[in-house]
Amino acid sequence: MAHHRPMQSPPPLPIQGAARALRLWKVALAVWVVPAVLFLPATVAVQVALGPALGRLPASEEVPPGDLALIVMDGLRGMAPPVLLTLIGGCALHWLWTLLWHGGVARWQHQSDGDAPRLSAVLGLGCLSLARSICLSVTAALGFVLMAVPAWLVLWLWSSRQYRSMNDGPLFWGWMAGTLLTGLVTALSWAATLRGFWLLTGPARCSPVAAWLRGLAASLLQPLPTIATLLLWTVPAVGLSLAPLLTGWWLEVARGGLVGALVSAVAGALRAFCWVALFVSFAPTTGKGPRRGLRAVGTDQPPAAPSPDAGAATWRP
Amino acid sequence: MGRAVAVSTTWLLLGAAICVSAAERVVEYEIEVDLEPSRHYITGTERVRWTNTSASSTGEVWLHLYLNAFASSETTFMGELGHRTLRGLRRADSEWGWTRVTELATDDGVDLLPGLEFVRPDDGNANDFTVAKLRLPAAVEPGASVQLLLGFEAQLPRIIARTGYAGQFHMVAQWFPKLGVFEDAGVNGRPEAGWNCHQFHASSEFYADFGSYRVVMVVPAGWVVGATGVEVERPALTGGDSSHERVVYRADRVHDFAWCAAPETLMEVVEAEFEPDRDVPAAWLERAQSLLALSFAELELPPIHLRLLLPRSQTSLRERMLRSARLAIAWYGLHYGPYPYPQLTVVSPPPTAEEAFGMEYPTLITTGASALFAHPPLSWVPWIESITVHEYGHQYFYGLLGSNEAEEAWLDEGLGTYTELAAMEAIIADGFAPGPPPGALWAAERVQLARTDSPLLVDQPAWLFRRRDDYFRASYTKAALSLRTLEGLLGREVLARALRAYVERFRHRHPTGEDLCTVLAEVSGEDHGWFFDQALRSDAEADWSVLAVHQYGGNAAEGFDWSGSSWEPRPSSSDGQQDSGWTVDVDLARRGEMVGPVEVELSFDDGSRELRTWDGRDRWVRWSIPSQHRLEQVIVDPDGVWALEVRRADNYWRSADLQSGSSRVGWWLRSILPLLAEVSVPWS
Repeated sequence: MAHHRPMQSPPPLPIQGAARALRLWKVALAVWVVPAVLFLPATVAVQVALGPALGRLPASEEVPPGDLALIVMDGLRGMAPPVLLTLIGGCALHWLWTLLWHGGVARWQHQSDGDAPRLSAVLGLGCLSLARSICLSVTAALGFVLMAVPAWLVLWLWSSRQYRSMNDGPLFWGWMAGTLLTGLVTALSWAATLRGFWLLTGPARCSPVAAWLRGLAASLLQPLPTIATLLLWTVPAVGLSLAPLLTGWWLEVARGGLVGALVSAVAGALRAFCWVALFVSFAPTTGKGPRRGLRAVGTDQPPAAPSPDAGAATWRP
Repeated sequence: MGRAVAVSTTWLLLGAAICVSAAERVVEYEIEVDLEPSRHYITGTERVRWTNTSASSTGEVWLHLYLNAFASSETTFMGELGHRTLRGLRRADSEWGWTRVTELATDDGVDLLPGLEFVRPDDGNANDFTVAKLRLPAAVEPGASVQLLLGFEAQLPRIIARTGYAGQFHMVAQWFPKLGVFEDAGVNGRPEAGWNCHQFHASSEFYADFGSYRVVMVVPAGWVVGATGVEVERPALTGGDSSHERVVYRADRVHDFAWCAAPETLMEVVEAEFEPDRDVPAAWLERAQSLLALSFAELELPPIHLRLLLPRSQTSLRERMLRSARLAIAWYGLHYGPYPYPQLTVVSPPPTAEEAFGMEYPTLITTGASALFAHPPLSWVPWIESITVHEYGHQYFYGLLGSNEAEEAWLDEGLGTYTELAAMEAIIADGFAPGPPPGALWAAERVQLARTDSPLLVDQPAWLFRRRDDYFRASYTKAALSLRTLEGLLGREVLARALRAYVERFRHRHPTGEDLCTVLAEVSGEDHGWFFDQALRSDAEADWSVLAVHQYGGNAAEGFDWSGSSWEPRPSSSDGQQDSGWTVDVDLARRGEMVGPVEVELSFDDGSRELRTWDGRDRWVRWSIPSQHRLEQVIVDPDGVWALEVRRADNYWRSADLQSGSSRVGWWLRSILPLLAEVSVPWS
């Protein structure tokens, strides 16, 4: 029986991520389009609830203080439950979609010869590994809680003691520490999840829990490259998410119509590219994963029986 | 109009000066009290002299024993509080609160204690002991006085409703047996003369006569004390006891006395000054002069000593707290006349004493903050300024104008909120504090009112509100928005001058809502009872809407015209005469019960605008307007004069071809929803 050494998780490579994301442009396209479709019911609901009332306002939208808030409140009053339901549904479906393309891209990368992927193939592979992806995500959520809770518990106990002794002076620094800690835990947990997808779909079959834990270990061993990569792709992604909002706030022409659609399209596509690039930045070094039975380096020999030394180190293009 | 307002104001001020002194010293209290911090216990003796300033005699005296509201879960206060706050959470006996009168006699030795009887004039709750009455040996005739000697002890509760202890911090309020107010027949609709002495309700505050206080507080040595009035001496204790200190405070022309005490290791005392030349912004002085039509000399303010007690953990907020107090003194002084006392004490309670936050007593206010406010993002929130301004505003509306907080809570809370928001808008706009853009504070009040799920009647006793939320929304929010609406209807200057006249006339007296209405009528020259009746004395709501707009191209009349002797055919358009434009039918409706004049703005396609007024008496009206141009927009109340109106969507009509699908707010809401999904990304 073939035995594979557990795969190692190398340091993330943002540049490699960008290059791979370009190759995975169809996936990026889907990452851009699908969330917009998933949230279409919610946006339609809001438009139905508020569109007519807001459309009747003067073009300048200069109205007495409070009128806008009152109109929005009034419009959403009866619509709050359906809007909330579509919102929650959208978030849930978006979560599933993300797991789907993460798993699909990871499996594709492991098995491909470097060809441009077919979207249907990627998504098909994603479906095959969806159950394990869900387990990985649940593990990540639990892992985050287990990491964050003790830290916050300590912080809370300390804050309570300070508060009960009527000394709230140091509370700010405590809360700052807690906030930074939460950010760090979030980043590590996230990186562990991203790495976990690659480990999960690699040749050495491991459980979602093991994959996540190994991903966490690798992130802890490589903190700076991990966090740097996360920031490098996340900051522009968030900025691009906000770009249509801010443009539309200041320029009426950017609220819908051709210009609005163009701004949204460009920002959305670039944002999707960032998310895909982030994910593939954590891929193993090569674009091609080891197949069942490894090919010896630099030879055309048929696959040899796996040796105890087989593992990530033997991956070569 | 302006001259008439100025003349009316002058006469009102003269009248106020004549009427002021009678009500100022109805009671004289001399109290000596011992604080035992380990048990949070106070024992005291009280000598109170009451003068009957009414036209009727009385053979009894009614007393408030407010601390008894915290004696059990069955009191009126705790019952009305419901399952909120501390009900059910108290464990130790020392966490409840009560007062016990141990001695009661006249100054010539007649023992009155056996005749002390608890009464429940509001709800008959046999478990409530917050009001007591006693029969006097002889009736007190009009103009006569009676002096009573009392001994009492009190257990301070763990801090609740702004009184009690938190650790070693003691906020001692409503702590002594306090006389009610004896009112003549006809006052506040009384059928006969009697004592106005309500039980302590969860939503009510206080009402008492003006007088003088001399209070001796015995506290542990090394403790700091803040109190109503000013400290006059610290006499040595008899027997050379150095473990305690006697602190003597005196206050005149006030109707309550509150104090706090805490170790100096916990609380810091900062002595500062309000100096008018330094602390009154020049721009405010000019604006006040213009607004009130008063000279600079008439707006002159005296210096005031400031005493700030704050936790040592919050010393970084010291300057901000002092600045807030100075700004409040400046703003209220310019608008409503000088603060008439030599000192203002500001107490910022320490952590765990949040129940003492935000309360007013004569010459002493509690604010409240946290050390977190010294750092962003909380430092960007004008919380300290807002709470200081609000509580200082109560020095006028409640402190100087001793309205009945139990029966007409809106008179102090509504006026307090209205003036607080006006002051805060000025403070933020002039850069003295961070804050939201202009109008946002009022917008928040309107949103608050819109959250009400049932109509609110403002002018009713505090304990008759169905829920505490209704009490707050009615007494604070709706009352303030009513005044804001009045400001829009009358103009800022008229309302400002009326309020100043109201304050000047009723300083150190007990005004009612009717008094405010009367002053308003005198200053404005118009009776606004119709507005008070609807906005405050009924639960009517303001709501107008544009029902429909129809436009008909061409309005040339057809048919025949009477020439005086015969019928002549009218020329038709086919005869070469030009089409005479549009006929526009605008249907407006009054959906709410509140009736009042409302402006309607009509905008046409040539850029012209027309402003009309509808009196709103009928349920609906149709305006048929001939026009050369097409109507593009109709707005009912375009300036938001009726701040009370919170259903605004139907106030706007726009021609269908011009209706925008690209509203800024709509765009934001539609665009922001998908971004919420990004939150799930780190976990997927």
